Amino acid sequence: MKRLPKISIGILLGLILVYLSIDVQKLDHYKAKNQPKAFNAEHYAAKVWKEEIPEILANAPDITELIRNLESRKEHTLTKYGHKLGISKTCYFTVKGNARVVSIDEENLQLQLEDGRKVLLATSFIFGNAIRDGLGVVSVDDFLNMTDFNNVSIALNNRVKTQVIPDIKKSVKVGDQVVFAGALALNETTPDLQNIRLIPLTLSVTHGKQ
Amino acid sequence: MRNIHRLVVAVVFILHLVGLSGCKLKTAQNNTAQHKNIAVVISTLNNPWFVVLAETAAEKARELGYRATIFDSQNNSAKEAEHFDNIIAMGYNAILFNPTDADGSVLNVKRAKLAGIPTFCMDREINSKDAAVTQLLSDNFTGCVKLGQYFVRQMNKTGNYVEILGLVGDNNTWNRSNGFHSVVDEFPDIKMVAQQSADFDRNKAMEVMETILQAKPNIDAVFCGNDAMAMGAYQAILAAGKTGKIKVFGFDGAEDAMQGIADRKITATVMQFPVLMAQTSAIMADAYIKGERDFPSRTPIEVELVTFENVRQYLPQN
Repeated sequence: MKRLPKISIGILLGLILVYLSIDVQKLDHYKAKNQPKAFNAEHYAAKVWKEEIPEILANAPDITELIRNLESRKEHTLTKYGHKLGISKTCYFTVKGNARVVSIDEENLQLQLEDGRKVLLATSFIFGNAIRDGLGVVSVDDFLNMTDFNNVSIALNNRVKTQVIPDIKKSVKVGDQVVFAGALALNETTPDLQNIRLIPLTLSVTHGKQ
Repeated sequence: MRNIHRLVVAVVFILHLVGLSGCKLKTAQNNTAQHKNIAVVISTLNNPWFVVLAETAAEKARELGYRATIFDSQNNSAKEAEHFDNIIAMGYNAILFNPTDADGSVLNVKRAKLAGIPTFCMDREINSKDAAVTQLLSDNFTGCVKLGQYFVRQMNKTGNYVEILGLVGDNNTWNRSNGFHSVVDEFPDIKMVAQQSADFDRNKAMEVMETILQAKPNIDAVFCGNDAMAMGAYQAILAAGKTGKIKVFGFDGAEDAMQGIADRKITATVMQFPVLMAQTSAIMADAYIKGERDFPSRTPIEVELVTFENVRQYLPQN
């Protein structure tokens, strides 16, 4: 009888020890806790926009110079300024330039460059990978899967649609002199230099139409 | 006399050893030159597109001097795991792999990696950056961005449409769907009235489309995640007497879909390049076996939009 309290205390301590050594969790909670954090394309795009784009645009070639070089030294220019994804004929570029707005329609501004050439600057139908791949800093190797990688394109395009296009539509008129930067895609085998369409990254009016 | 006898025995023994080692050396050389094996594991051989992928990969591997064996997973991840068990047990030198499931197949690739067998994914992706040596994938998203823009213009920015998805566990299904929606969803007058999976299967797509056509009579277009489903959907539209009223869009660049575009039955598709993908996978596996280790985690392969305007250049006779 005298040993009963000792045994009881022993059992109690044993139970406490067992209780403390076991961590019971709901399977769903455990799985959720151990899942890698879901990739957030908007955060990623915001970081690229703020930290990468200014420097890339500062070093981007002038569009008239790029076109001239593509005509005279295509291979060299493609290698020097272009970015390709995997096995592809499409080459992406980031460029900047000065131009005069010669016409405006539902989907584009038509710009006349300093050398007289005309290019389009998109204000609608902002799709595809021109920005993501034209920047040359977003690598497919950094992503878990193609879905995350592609979502970066969507997020960057959305930033153009929400942060660049509304200002362009509001402030630009035919005859305005503008400074712009943007991204474009060209077929490396037969680059169509007469029908260039840029996705804008920045645009500002330097001399409004009088 | 006894010494001479011993000497003869010793010489014979030494010659025997030399002979044996010579044989071993020869066998080892034979193993290096002739006995390397590449496994081609394919999600399903029920779809002609995957037959082309499998046979081209195996053919290229043979051309490069390997024995190549094709394993059909029949779109069944358990069957795929069995194949990997056998491939690992038999000590294959590389696997050219078309997975059944983006998440479910990762473990198989990791098991192969642990056993020292490199895996090269073809066409379908697994959700891992480092399990496979590299993954050669069609740029499905970009293809469907191009298709989506053409779709919007064909619809004049208005109308009702149906989407028939492929396998829901396959990343290609979602990359195609996301690419398409990244464009089409920006046009509020284009409305998706039904979305259903038909597992990339022609017959299932026909059944799905038949059911949808009964429930939703006002449909202007159907976007299918592959050409087999587009052809199935077209059959349902034909049976309902609505050809010409409903535009059909596919993905793959299958021969019958190309002919369908030329005949104005199908509106557009996106051309993939399975031959290029399969051959490049085999070439990369060969390079890996020979010591190359510098591979990107993924190699997207550009795809092309095919419409009535440019279909001629893609028809088999051309």
